[in-house]
Amino acid sequence: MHRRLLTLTRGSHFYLTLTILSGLIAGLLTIWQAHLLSSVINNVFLEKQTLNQVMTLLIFILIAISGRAFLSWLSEVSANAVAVKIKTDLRNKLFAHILKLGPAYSRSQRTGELTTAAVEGIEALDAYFSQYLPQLVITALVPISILIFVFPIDLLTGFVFLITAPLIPFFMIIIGKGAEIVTKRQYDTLQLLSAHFLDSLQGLTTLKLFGQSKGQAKNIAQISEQYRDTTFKVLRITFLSALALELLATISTAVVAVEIGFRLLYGYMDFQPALFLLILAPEFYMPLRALGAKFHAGMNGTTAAKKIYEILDIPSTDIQPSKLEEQISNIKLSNISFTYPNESSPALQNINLTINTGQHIALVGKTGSGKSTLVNLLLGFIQPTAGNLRPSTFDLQPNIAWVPQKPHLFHDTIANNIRLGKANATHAEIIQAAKSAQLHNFIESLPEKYETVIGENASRLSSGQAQRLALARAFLKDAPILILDEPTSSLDPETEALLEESTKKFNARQNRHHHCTSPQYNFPSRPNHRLRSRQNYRAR
Amino acid sequence: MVKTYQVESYKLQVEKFQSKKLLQEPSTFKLQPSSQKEASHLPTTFRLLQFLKGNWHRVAFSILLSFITIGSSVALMGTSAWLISTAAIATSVIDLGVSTVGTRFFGITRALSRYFERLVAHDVTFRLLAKFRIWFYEKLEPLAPARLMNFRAGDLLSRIIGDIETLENFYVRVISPPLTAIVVGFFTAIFLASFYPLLAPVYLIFFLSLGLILPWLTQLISRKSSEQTINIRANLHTQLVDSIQGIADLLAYGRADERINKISVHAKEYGDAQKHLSLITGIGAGLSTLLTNLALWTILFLCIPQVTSGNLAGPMLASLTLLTFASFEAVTPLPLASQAWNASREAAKRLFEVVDTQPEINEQRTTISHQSSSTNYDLQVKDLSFTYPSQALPALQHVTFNLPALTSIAIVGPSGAGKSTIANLILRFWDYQVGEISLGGVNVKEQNQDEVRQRCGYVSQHTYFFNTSIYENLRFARKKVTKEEIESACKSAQIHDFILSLPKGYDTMIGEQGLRLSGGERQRLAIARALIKDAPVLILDEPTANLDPLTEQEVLKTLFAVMKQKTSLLITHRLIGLENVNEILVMNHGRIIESGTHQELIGRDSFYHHLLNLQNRILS
Repeated sequence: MHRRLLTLTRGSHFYLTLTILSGLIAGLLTIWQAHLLSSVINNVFLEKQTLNQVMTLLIFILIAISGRAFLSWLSEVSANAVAVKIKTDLRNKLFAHILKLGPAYSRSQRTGELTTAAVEGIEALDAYFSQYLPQLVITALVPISILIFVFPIDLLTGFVFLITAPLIPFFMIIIGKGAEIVTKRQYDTLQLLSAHFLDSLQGLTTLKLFGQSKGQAKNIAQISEQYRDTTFKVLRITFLSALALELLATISTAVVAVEIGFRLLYGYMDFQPALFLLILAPEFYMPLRALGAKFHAGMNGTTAAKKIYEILDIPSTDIQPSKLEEQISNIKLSNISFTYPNESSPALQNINLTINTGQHIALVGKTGSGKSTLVNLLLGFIQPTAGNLRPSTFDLQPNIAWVPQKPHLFHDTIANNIRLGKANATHAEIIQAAKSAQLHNFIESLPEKYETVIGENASRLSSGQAQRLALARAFLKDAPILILDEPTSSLDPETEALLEESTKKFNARQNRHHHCTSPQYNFPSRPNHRLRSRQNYRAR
Repeated sequence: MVKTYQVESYKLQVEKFQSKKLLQEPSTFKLQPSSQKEASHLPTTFRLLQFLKGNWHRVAFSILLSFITIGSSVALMGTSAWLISTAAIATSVIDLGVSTVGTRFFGITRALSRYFERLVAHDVTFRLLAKFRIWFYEKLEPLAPARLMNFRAGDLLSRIIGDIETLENFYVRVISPPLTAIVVGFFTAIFLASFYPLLAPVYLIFFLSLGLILPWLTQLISRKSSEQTINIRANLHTQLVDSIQGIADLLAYGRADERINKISVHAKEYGDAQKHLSLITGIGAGLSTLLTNLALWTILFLCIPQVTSGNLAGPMLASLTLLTFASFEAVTPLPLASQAWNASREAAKRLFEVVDTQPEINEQRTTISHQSSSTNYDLQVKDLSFTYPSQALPALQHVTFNLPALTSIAIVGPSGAGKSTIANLILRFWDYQVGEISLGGVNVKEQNQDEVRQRCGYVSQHTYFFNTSIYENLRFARKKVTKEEIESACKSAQIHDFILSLPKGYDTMIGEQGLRLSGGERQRLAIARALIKDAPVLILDEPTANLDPLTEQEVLKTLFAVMKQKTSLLITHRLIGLENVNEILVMNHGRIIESGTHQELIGRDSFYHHLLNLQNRILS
């Protein structure tokens, strides 16, 4: 997964290099600063120099400090630029791919997971590229450069560093594995607790109805307590590897201090290099430990990336509707069968159907009998596993106006929601469509009329009104084929009757196919044909 | 005669009840302002701190441990520097004293205390979490469902969950770091002062700048950009979620490419905002590097003349400089703490807003027990009028009817006519203002809420099931119910055979909100659950909505059989099988406009007849 993520950096080599370079130079400046610091202390402490005599060195330290400060700003900015570029590209790619996969996929995948991948998943990559990846490179570079400076000064300390250093990645891997388990377990635990809590809140009314609501608090307490107990036991063990890492870093600093202390005492070593080594010791382990702190970001990133690539790796067919100008004369389905992926029994079996211009077809049958599957097929959301469809869905789709059972209302104005039917529709056309769908009066009653923003949290429409809005879209599109999917499931009889009138008028104007799936009372009240789809119960 | 109805119903539509994902948008709960505020309204942070009650000893212990952790690394650097400095001028090992042991000791204590500190901190977090949940549940319980109608839509309940999750980190991220920093800063300053008093104020200035002023300053200068970035990001995410949810509509109308372009424009805008923000937050990172090192430099600068003049022992020069540097470890988590503090406060504010709402139902103290009249379950409604809070039009006006025990009434009419309101009032989810409802001859307002509900079985279109097994979902309907009773109820509800056909039978897990079952199966299970409860009164609120007609017919058949044994009230806008009830009340605009049996009503030019004609046209 890391390798795949790395290929994403291709477009941002400049900023990535800049990030790494600023990290490396900052590391070198740290070594220089340690050298200057030890010289100043040596000169004052042993050579008895005064403040004025060490002033030049002190000014050099200031320069090193300013350099490091500047570089830490620079690396943050450039790391961010890398992350932004990658996130933007990947998000666009993912979104385009999800659209290509179409609703047949998003339905089976649960839209929730897809939106999580596109929203939280992409954001999780931010920390991966802006923090984890640069730190990973710095962790490789800075300790090595420190070693290069340390070895010529003192072999023994160099060896202490060299031997302990590989132990750290070793422990990191153990911690990483442990942390992965801990993170996952803790996440799962919290998710479980959260889900149980949400379940209790959502079912509060039900609990109340059965007189059980007061006892549920005890239940929540008990479950929380139980999970606290088990998680605690796991954490006690998994934190041990972090303990080992911590011990290693601090103990080796202590070992270096004692070891050089004794050689100083017996005159095998000078004070200045000894102090230099002592100052560098924590700096040597610092990047390794910083990586540990950012490990979480890295792991979140790879987990998110896995989900994202799972989606991106699903092959999609390119839907390229050809700009077919000629009027579609009839739709012919011959021997069409379809089976949903991962399901054994087919949803459609050997469907033979010809729909001629001007024909109205009503498709009735039980839930799960395949009506919606057939509509999805006509709309090109799915391709038949067997059989032949004429014209092909590529040509068919642009000629269909579709009113789904549960239309989606976009977080936008009512006018724009209707405009989905026809991008360049004038305001007059929109009003006309709304009138035909019996929605105009309602819209006019809203304070902001057609400019009212609807969607998730804005002023809401009832499901009946949402359907009428979808109908307005269909009227606006004015396509030769009209598909109504249970168009009146949420309406009361009176509104239904009104709608029927306008649809009839609408149909009278032109010759058009009229395809309708409706297990409810039939809306186009006198269809030429009624097709009853055989019950085809699919167990979930 | 064509009338137009007001179709909009008071209830918020729930069909868009989606996944539990939260949009990262600031949210406010639309609640009616509480009429009376609680007696004492402490500031949010203060109220939050009260949750630590009973855990203060753990908090103190964890802070002590985290002080030892950082203190050890400060001591490790100080002792090491002193050790090698002394070694440079010493003549024998004795001069080094315990410092050789000290360095190793501090190395070990640091690692150990860190380990225990993490354990204790996690323990506190989990305890707090449980406390928050129980507290919130207990506060919310009396508010349901009247005050919670608004929460369903837009997934506000999930947002509440998100807010509680934010508070999980309240201790680890918000409380612990500043307290630890204060202790570390205090002791380091004292230590420095004991060698040279001037060092303490200088050190504290740097310490405070890093821990307090810098985070505050960074937040101040980045506030505008960061708010902007958050808004742009929220907008982008809304667009993404919106597009993915509306994917079918987009594709059917050939708008995929247009959307892709729109999203990429928003994405670019977000990217630019983020880059701009990083220019500013980068300054914070740079200043933090600068100040930490400058502190070290200044301490060194101040100590040099002291060493020269002999006021300060030579070995202390390296020691003081390096330990100062090490102590800044305590302030590094503070910028994050201030961010987490803001987030916690916002989350807590929203939660407090919810729990401070007054319950709709005020339980009267004078509640009498009505065991004596328990054989009489007549339901009488007299001149009932009701208006929902914050609504202009009344939902019910002068509704009167009488439902004698063991008979049935159907209330029909277009949506928004006020049918469900009657059920809500009988069940005491709301309290009515005018008129009277009496059950068993006693006003329901004078009865305990639980007592009223105990006598009513209720099946609605939004039946809720818990994410557990079929058996558990049925069992909780009544205390001490036997397996045989459950099975016999399921047989009556005609779901027993289906349950047995499942691989795990009654132990089958039915998934989140029972979604692994079909709509018809869920409704049957709901009927079974109401039967298990075995309440004398049965209230059915659109029990067959959302079912396809064939399933609807079957469920209704089951229901009508069950209704014969109960005092039942059927609320529906679907006029099917109503010849099975004793009386039909037709409602419109909150009033009962007609009543009679099915035969009587279709025998004349009634509104009922008109509705029936419209509905059944296909059958004619």
